[in-house]
Amino acid sequence: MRGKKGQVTLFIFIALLIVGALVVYQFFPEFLPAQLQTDVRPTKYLQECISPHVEEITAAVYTQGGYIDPTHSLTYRDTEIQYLCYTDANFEPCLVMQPLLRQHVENELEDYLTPIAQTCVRDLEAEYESRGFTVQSSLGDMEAEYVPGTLELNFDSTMTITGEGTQQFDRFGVSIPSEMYNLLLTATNIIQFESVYGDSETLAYMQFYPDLKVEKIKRDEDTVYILTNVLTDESFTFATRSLVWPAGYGANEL
Amino acid sequence: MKKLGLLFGLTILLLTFASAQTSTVCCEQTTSGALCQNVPASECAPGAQQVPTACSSTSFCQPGVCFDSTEGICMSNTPQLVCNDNGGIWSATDVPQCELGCCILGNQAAFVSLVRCKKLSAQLGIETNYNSNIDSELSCLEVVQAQDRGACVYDFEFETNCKFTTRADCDTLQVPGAEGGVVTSFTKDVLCSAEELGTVCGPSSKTTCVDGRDEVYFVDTCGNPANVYDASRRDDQSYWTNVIQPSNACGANSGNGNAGSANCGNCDYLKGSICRGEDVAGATPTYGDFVCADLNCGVTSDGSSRLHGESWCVYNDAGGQSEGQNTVGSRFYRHICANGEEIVEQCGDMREEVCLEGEINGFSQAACRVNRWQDCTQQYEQDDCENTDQRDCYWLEGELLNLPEDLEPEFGRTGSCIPTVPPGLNFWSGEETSAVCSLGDAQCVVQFEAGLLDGEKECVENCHCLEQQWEDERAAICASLGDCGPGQNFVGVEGTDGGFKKIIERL
Repeated sequence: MRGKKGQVTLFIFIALLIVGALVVYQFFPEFLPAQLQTDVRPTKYLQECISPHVEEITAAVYTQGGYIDPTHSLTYRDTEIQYLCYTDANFEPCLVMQPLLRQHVENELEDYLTPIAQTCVRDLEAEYESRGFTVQSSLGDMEAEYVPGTLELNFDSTMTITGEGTQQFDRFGVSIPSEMYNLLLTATNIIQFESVYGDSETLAYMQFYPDLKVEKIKRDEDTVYILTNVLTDESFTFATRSLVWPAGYGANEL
Repeated sequence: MKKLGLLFGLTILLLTFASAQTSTVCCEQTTSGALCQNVPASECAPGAQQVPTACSSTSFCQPGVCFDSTEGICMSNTPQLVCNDNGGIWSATDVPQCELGCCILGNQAAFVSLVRCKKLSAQLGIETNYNSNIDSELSCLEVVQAQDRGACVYDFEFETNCKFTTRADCDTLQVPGAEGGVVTSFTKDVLCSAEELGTVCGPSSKTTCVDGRDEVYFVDTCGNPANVYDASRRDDQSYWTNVIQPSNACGANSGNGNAGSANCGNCDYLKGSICRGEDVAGATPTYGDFVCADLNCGVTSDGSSRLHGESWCVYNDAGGQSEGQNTVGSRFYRHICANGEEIVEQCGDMREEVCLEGEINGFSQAACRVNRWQDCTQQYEQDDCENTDQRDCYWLEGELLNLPEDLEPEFGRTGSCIPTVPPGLNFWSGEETSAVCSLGDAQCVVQFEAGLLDGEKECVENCHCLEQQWEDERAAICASLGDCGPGQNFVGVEGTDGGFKKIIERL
């Protein structure tokens, strides 16, 4: 009986110790030894550091035809939208201006996010050093890749954190759920039709892909396409100028 | 007069266009940023390569096929420079890599190139199964539909497990998550939850959507899709034994494809329903998280209800749709019902396009098509004028257009050929509009005779020209030629200056 009582007391004591440690860990981390202070997890830290920038840049790129700074565009609702298929001539189908759209969008993200990721790594390094760790890191490049259902962002950067022990990281990755892969491939297919036939049949795409909504906005001589995944609300916008029939006989433009 | 002849002779127009092109250069990049365009030299960006010939004749801007070796996609009509700069492989002619064949992807198929097939197979984690001898998409789909499907039983980690898959996948055990297992049997048209198989899989209340299928399916405890979701048969072991085709499952004859049904997941895409999550579909099933979502459009802008995939023409601007009644700025629209939403698509502005609509068994389909009005006024016979294979015009017997001399036929005219849907014109710039509209000018010489005794003048010839009807008819012809004559704009506001002048002179 006495032995049992002692056991219960011991359990209560251990429980109090654990709760106490958790309280100190939560509210007074500076009183903990350095090894216990590593609540900063490198991968999570970098994910949280990069994610807002990813949202910001993808929002811009997706509404501007896949370009951060459109090089040849029209203005639609105060947004510059890149022509992905264009001809200056009338009565002719357009020439493809961006045949490898997915890769181009990936490159745009890589170019924009690499310096941001490098800054994040430096901030992380400073964070560890302020907590008494020794950090060695090398700054690499960001790799972006769209696969069905996901945008994979991988940052090639090695980081060695030395405290009482040593931890090494070679690569940091972020996976963002995204249906953009299919939208970019549909955009590529529409461009293909525009460049051959001068037009595209939007309803066929919507019937074939039930999750897809295609809006075709015809302006004077240009067409703006907005492709939307109806389940995720992600959208991609781009412009074309193809098989233009000028007003009247077109004599004013000769 | 010479100018009018130029405007209305399409052949001459094209020749003029061709001659205008000779003053252009093939420019690597224009000042606006466009690549490989035939433009005047002044529009070429500083430092950009330019050659005084058409781009199709140059080495750097020649259009051809651009092959994306990563995705296995071929893009036609791509300038060499654009393709190479973006990492593609350019060719002036079709490349063998672009040839299409049948790619089998488990229980689905795609008619794509070999490289694309490899890419898709890799994404799905299955072996590439490509047949280049199948030369049509339809045959490709038939191959997949003919595949046997059933329970693939295998031993894995001391358990008799099962995957519902194709016979081909079972033979090679291409079952994700079951690599290394030993296949013991394949039973066609039997579900993994069948008791006779003695597997660890059994019935459950969970449901799922299956890629390439319309219906909501039950899922067994191993995660395999079973039969179509039917709440009343959840506990019926016979429903968990053999494959039951959707045509024999619950609600097979439902008119709306069981849209919104809480108890039956036999969705039918052709009737306007498909498997979706309950949060998206806006309906709650008795079991599971998926229901048949309603894709049809209950009430559209014109008050009618439409099926998913239907499209129809709308012309709701002021004025009529044809025979000169179209108003300035008016255009045709195509409306589409997709995913329960009505989408509006404009046909070409300036009535460059018209909307055509047809119906099969009450299912409406519409399309925007080029308005073929360009050579109407050059038709002098009614049959030629009203040949709908060639043009969109109508014949006006007894009314003559004011054609320029060089377009006047030798054999005389009995009527005029007018565009059914008059084109919009850039009346705010250039000379074209006045040239087009002047075709509607008419001169009518009315002859009067004065009486010998009372000196009273009496009309003896072309007296109809004095009547309001003649004036109205001429105004209508004028309006039929384009944005000419009296009229109103697309919101119904009348023009300010009457649209024409009547000049009466004594000869």
